[in-house]
Amino acid sequence: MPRFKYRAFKLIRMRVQGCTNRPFYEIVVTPKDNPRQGRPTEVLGFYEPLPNLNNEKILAVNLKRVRYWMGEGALLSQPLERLLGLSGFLPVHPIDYLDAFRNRKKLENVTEKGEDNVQSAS
Amino acid sequence: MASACVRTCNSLKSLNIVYPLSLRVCNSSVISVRWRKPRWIPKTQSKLFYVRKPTPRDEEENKMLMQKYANYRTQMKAIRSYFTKFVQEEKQARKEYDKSVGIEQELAEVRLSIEVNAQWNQESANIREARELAEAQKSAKIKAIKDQKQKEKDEEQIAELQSRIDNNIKFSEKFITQENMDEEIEKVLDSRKDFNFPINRKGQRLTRGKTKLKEDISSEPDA
Repeated sequence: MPRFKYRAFKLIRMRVQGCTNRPFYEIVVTPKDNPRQGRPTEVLGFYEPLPNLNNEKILAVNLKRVRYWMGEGALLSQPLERLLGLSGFLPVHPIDYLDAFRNRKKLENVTEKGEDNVQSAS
Repeated sequence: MASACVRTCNSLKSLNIVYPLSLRVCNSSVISVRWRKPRWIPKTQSKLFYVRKPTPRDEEENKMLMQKYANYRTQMKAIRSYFTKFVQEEKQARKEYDKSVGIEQELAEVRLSIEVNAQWNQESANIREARELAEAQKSAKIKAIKDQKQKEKDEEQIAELQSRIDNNIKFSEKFITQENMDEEIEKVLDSRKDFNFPINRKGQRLTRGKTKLKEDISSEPDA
């Protein structure tokens, strides 16, 4: 028998809802050991990754509660860290910087090639 | 399970496959992550001296990431500690408030709300009672009208039945009884009927007693 009752730390992460080819995520607080679709401690918001008619991906979070749970010691999953970083609540995640870096590089390459083509054509 | 292991070992031995000692030691101790094959089966010949090539890393990217991650971690740590402090302060403030004024004030609020609730209940009860009284009166009126109608209907029915009984009593004077039986028999024997006449398909009589005797025509009631 264990001496102490084992308690997993809380994790703020996403729970998949929606249906086939139509993903929809709920942002929830759960103990880390819980199954992905298990009953959460609290639902903090939702995230729709598919752009809607106005070409928006909607993220709705109760930031007060996120602050509370982070103060209680809850950790965030990486996708959520990135989303909150992009939304301005947390610092921007390094992976996003990496993506931006790569995109910039690709764009530079394309423009250089384009210029070369233009020059060669003229 | 153990027996199965022994058997496989023996089978390997029987095949005369002998590996150097160093390799065997290596298999059992150093390389631990092997799932598909049992531990005592050695590495395949083709993979014996295989060394995985490290994933290629972009030098520039790596440098940038290292720096960004370091910054990110420190920032997150700071934010986290700020949130913890914030939450603890909030909790403390709530506790102090409860201790000093919170509970009394809340109790007072509860008492007030109970009073107001009772008042509202009384008001709604008054409205409800008035409505119920009106409904009862209305239903009583309707019931009285219904009862009256039923009574009239019953009386009508009784009168009709009474008239039928009276008629039957009146008709019973013509009944044949023991006393006048002989008389009646005599009457029947004396009377004479003739059924010799044609009828149509509906059973109606076509001719009017042509074959009847002259003396019998007078005695026929429905001729």
